[in-house]
Amino acid sequence: MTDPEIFAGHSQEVRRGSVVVASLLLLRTPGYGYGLLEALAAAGVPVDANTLYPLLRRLEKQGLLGSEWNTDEARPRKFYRTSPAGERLARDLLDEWLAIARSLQTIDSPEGTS
Amino acid sequence: MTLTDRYVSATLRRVPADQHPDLEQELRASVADAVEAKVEGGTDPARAETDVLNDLGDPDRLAADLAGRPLHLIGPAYYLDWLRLLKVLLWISLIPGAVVLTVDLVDGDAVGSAIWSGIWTTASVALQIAFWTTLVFVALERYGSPRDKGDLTGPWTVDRLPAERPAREASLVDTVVSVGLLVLVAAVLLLQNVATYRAPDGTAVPVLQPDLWPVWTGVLVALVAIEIVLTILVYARGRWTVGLAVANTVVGALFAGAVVWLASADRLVNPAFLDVTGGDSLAWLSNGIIAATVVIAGWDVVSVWVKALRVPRA
Repeated sequence: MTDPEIFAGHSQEVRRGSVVVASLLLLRTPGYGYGLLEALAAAGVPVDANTLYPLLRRLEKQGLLGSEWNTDEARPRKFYRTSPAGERLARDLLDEWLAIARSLQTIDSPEGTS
Repeated sequence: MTLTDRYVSATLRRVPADQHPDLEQELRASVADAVEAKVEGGTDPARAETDVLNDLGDPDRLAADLAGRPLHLIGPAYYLDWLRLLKVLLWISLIPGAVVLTVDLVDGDAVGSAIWSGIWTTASVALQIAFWTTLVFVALERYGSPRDKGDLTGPWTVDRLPAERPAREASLVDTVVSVGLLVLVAAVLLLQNVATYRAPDGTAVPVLQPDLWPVWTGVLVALVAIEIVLTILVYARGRWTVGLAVANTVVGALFAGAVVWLASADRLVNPAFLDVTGGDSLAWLSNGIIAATVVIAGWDVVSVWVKALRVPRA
């Protein structure tokens, strides 16, 4: 049985990049901070609020996300939307992610079948 | 002022002013959304606000993340460059220390106070070097463009691998430092006759017994000279061998024996020197010198044997 603490540490390493890809993919439909937090948790990519909010600002600064304020509702919210550059990056990262997953399966399969 | 107000102002304090309006509104909306969700889930409203803010954590940390500012002095990108440069520069601090020591000795200051001001100068210069070097790297870490990171000393290539050395354990730096210290000891012994401590009335008062000259001084300087030759031989051989360790033990024992014998017979330190400096107990000083000599000589002999008997690396 793996030590839960050791597992949590390594699992975080493995998942680190997934939040960026997941956020860029989800924000093809505009969304705001807390809403995205819930959407990510629902999609199985849970992330802490104090990690996600700085990440959104960083992605915006890099031109991967655009933003605009929605003041129609009672509570004004900053909506983010994936930019064309962000869209391309998300595609590339997703391809890479899947390629890594396939490679790992290939490495694993001889062990599993023999 | 609500808890959220205090949290938001604590966060904004550490964020550049031009980001304040945008950030404040977004942070408030996010906190309000999270509190609302918790209250709908059945949590008490006051409790929900506390929970949400606790989850967001230290506002200073959040502010640093939001503003993209590092929370460390020198990050991994510059750490190695900082360490390498600092190591090289710290060697330089020995030079002013040695200069001050020499000048003081030539001026005829007491040997103890000259050594002390040499050490003090070295320590002050080292502190200055460490402080300013670190400050430059802190500035680079915060304001340097990320693209510059490889350019500081260029990207690492195999050309930077240290030259292959045939299992040399005695480095050039160690050798130079050891020889320098030994020359210093010899100089202190010899300079007794030209540059000595001067009493307040201007008369020259040697620190060591004048009648040590020339026989005992000659013996001690000769032993130091043999130590210097040994040190250079060790560098030439690359490491301590059993033969060199035997020689080192003999020379060390002779030198320590001579100093201990002279000190215990009260023949080492000039009593007149104690009189003018106001020192009261020759016995106390002699015991101090004997103890220091035994400890230093013993440590030297033992550490050399450890090096000589250690199996050389293949």
